[in-house]
Amino acid sequence: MLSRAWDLLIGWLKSRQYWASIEPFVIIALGWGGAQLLSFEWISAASPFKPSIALFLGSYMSHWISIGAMGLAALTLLFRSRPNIPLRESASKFRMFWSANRRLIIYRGVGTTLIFAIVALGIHVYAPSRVSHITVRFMDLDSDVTPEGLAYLIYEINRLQQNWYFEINFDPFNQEEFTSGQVARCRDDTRPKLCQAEILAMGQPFIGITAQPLGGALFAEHRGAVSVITTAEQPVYAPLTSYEYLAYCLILQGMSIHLDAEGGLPKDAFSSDKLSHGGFFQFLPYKQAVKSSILAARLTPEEEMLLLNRFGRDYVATCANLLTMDWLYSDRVKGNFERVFKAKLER
Amino acid sequence: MKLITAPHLVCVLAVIGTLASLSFAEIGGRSGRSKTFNGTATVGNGECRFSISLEPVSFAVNSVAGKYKLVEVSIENRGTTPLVLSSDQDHFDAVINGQVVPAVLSLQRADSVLWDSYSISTRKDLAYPLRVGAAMAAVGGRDIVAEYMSMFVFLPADRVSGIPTEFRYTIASLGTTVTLRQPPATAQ
Repeated sequence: MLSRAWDLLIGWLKSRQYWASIEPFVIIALGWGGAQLLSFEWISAASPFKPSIALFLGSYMSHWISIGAMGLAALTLLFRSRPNIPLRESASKFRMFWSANRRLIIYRGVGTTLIFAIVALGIHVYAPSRVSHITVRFMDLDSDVTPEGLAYLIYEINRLQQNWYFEINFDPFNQEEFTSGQVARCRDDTRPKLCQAEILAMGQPFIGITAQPLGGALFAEHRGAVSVITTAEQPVYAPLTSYEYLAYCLILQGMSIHLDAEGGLPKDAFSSDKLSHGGFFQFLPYKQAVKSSILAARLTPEEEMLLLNRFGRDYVATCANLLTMDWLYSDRVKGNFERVFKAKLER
Repeated sequence: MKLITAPHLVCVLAVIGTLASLSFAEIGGRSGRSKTFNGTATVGNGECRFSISLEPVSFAVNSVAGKYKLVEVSIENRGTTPLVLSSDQDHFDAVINGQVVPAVLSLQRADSVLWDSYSISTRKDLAYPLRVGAAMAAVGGRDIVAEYMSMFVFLPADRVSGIPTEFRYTIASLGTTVTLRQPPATAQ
């Protein structure tokens, strides 16, 4: 039925006088649609990340295909147009052809270069960025978390990553190392732990983990390329263990740091709001709901779109996978935590 | 014709070796002069050992920026709980010619200009530690693996009139003062 309608449409178009003019553009449009469909099928089949059609059409891959198709259409237009430049037939050699059609060749050469430059620029603008590694340092830990247990947790997260990872700096943190100026600066800062983390970060992406309460936030603070996570509110997220809580916070803060570095962190991220649908970058109006956020962690379609277009398919697929926490509750990881680190993880 | 045969070479090497060992003997001629001070404290269910080794000549001659004498304290925690330290609350004194000379534990607070002039890695090395980790029971629980750390304290150079005879280290978290003394001569 559908193919018959299609045949009728094409037959009707072919009978029109303008068919010869629009034929290449119809072919390009069909190619564009086919490429979109194939890419959508490929992305859905090649990774655990299954985007919706709407999400895919807003993605960088769809934009690339559209830019390519528009470039092709522009080239077609260019080579079919001949503004007041007649084409002189010449059966002789190349030099004679060149001298006879110099203006047309230059016109098309310049046009082609321009189109390629615009297409390249468009692809570059929509290309996802590479993300950086993030250093994690244990500033001070509570008794229910050991450095080796936390290191194991982070290494398990790294196992699932493809393009970036968390690096652990095992140096014990000692504020005695700071200069007197740094000590004074953090003493006067409303977010002293974040201030200390910024000094330790030395301008690089960094996450500090502490057992001390933070300045203004209950669970984590973030500024630029630096975040600090606290386990001081352990009674709030209990009965979840600090390992489960820290796994969630590390993934969240890792994404925040990457987005902030690209200027992509939503303006309203973590801003105070009385309503919450459990979104990843939402403020928690009720602190006990942190457990709910951890257990039902997910990326909303808007967040998926944001991460997909900023960092690419692998990144969003990995984040979506990490957030499910299925890896943490796998028999292997759960068993290792119980046997080696004496921590019981139960869902 | 060979000018240097194998026996010649052996002789030459032997002479060089002898000369080298003689010159080393001259440089290392002060071996055995270091003074060692030891003390212990109980940490949890184990022992924590403290020791200081001073070489009198270098102690007399060397100083930090002409203001402080640097003393390195080695700590070996054999207890299964960490030893918590605090530059605010702990005290370290040297007894010199019968006088008690208090040491500076935090140069960051006591002499910020000097402290700030050091590089990050030097500050890291010189900073008073927050804790010495707990010893771990080895496999089978038959032995323990002690935790080691060394730290530095600063004695005001203008108050150091000789070689210390004793050190007193008060650790607030233990509520005790550890006295570090030289072992009796017969044990040396």
